[in-house]
Amino acid sequence: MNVEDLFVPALLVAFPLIAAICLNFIHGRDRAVKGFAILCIIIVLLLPWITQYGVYLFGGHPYVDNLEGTNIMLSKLNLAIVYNYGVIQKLFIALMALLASAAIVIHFLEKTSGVYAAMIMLGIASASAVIMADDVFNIFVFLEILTISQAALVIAVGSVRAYKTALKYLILGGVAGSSILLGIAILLGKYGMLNVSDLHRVISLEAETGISQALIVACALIFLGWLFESGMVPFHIIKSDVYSKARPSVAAFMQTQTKFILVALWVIILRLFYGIPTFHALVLGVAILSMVFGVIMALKQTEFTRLLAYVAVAQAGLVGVGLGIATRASVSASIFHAINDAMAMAILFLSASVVLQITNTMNMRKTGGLLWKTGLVPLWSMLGIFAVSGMPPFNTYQSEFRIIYAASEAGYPELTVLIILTSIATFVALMKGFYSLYLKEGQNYLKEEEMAKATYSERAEYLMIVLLAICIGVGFFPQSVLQHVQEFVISLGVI
Amino acid sequence: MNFDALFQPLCFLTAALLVVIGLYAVIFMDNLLKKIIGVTLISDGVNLVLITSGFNKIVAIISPDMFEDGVTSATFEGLQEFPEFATQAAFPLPSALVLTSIVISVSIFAIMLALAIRLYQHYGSMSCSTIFKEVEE
Amino acid sequence: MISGFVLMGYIFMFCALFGSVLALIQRDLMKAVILIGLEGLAVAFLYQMLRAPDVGITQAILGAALLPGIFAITVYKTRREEE
Repeated sequence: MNVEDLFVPALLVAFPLIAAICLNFIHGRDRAVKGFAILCIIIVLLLPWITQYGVYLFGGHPYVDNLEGTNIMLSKLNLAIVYNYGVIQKLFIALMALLASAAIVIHFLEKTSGVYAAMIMLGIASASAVIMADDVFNIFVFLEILTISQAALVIAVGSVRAYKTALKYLILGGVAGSSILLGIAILLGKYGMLNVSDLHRVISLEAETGISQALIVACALIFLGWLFESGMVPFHIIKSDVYSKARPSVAAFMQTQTKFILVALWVIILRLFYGIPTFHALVLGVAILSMVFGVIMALKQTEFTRLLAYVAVAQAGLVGVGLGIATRASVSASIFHAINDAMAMAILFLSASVVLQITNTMNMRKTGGLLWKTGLVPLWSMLGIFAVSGMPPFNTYQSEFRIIYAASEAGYPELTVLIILTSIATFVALMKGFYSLYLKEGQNYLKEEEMAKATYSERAEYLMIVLLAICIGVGFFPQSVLQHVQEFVISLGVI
Repeated sequence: MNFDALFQPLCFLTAALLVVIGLYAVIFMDNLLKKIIGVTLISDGVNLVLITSGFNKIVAIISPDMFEDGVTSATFEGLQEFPEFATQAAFPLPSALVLTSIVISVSIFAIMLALAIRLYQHYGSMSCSTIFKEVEE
Repeated sequence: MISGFVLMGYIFMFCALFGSVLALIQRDLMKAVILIGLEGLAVAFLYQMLRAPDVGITQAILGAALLPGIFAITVYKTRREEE
């Protein structure tokens, strides 16, 4: 047995879980927590690159069935847990691990907390499992764990408003998780298996004689769970609340999780329910509403992290629009856009964490005049704003351009206009935020001598530079990522 | 009316009614604790749907006329072969889903109740209209 | 006409529904918590009758003993009467 055989995809889920338990255990001893967290971060950053590609399966239960056309009863195996690991999953998990490490490292500046790092590790584990999983059992369990992890990261802030947001999020998450479980129950009761590939085959065979009613009910229930987990209308308000009440460095990580889980869950729902006639129209409608509502609410916000949160929701809506058009070009463009936009929004959230360190407030009426006090961070923020709005030479320009092109090719010219208008409105909202933070006068919140010696740490700035470099790099060579995405979309076999 | 055959459909009906009652409680009730009780009822109903869908009326592992005193099914030679048993046994897969779901929901409720206590200590009231009054800053 | 086994099942179903409806219309929250415990116990018996004894034991411990316990701690630390 070679050493390379040890790195199976299940390790990507098992290692952060074990790390979370250990970090929780040694909470309170600051130096031990710091050392162990650094070790875990290094391993978590390395693991996606050295794990082998392939399908990894374990578990199953036997059932008996007639051999085709005869009366011979044969004992077969229903696969239970299946993990798929390919290039796209590697890119998703590697990017999430990068941002999670950034969140832990930036948080350790103010307070070393083992429980905080444990919750972030739990978030990595659950998001990795949902991205890789090929069976609905795994998805349900790890979506519930994801809800707990995100709520715990909001509770860690400690203010009463954060507690209110966390309680609302947990109640809605409990109802959405039960809805997904009910959909899974209907699928299990009708077909007897949980494996998505097997279900896909059986549903395709059955679809030749017509769509069954139970399948439509199961689709509605699982669709409701998908809406909650990806922050679309009508759950966009609670998702943006969660992003804004948590610390900005960990909000960068959370919005990455949401975008990738949006894509991963959509792929699973597509392979199960593609035969239902109005499925693509439903996804398109919800995504257009999220895009428009997100941008409109972003324009009227007075708190910077809430503005960023609504822009993140609008960009998730744009990804959903590409998925809803459902041609090969648009789906590959929108998966590409999910990767690009996660990086671009992370730059802006990290700049917000720098501002928070100095001013301790995010209220745009009170801040101002930080242009010369924060070094080169305003420059990186401005480049980040260009990246999110989709300007060349950034990678988001390539992906948004391809979504717009695919929309006009597929016969939706009105969508083209809508997406361009959304881009413009995003740019306007972000420039308003930039102006309120850096350019305008108004420093009533801190006295003069405190402002003179207020410093900020460089850690967030280094990461912003790294992400900007990756954005520009992918912007100049989009085919390096895009060809893998296109191969992934072709391998789905349904679009 | 064959009441014996109505057992499984009536279990489904009970589960559906539990989900509906829980959903009503989450949406319309004012007290925070009753909303959390509503989430409990929803998850109880969904778990009952899962287990009921796996129900199968087992005849017997060994048929009664072959049973003698002092014989357990492990030592009895007339134990039915696995394929025949598998067609008559209850479906085991929903049990795994339900066990996981019950345990995860208990931990979610523990966090929710701790948050409810903390919010009561700040606001002095458990009524949702007082706690969640939206204040636009 | 109706076997004793199935009759017990119907009684437990009725207990579960009745207990949950009563729990939601109570003004005294401690009584509501005890009624939810009763409903959890009825559902645990129902799991045993549906040939899933492992789930029955888990539901009996968690849903009829632990969950009403932490609900009761919450009611004790907040307020007993609904306003």
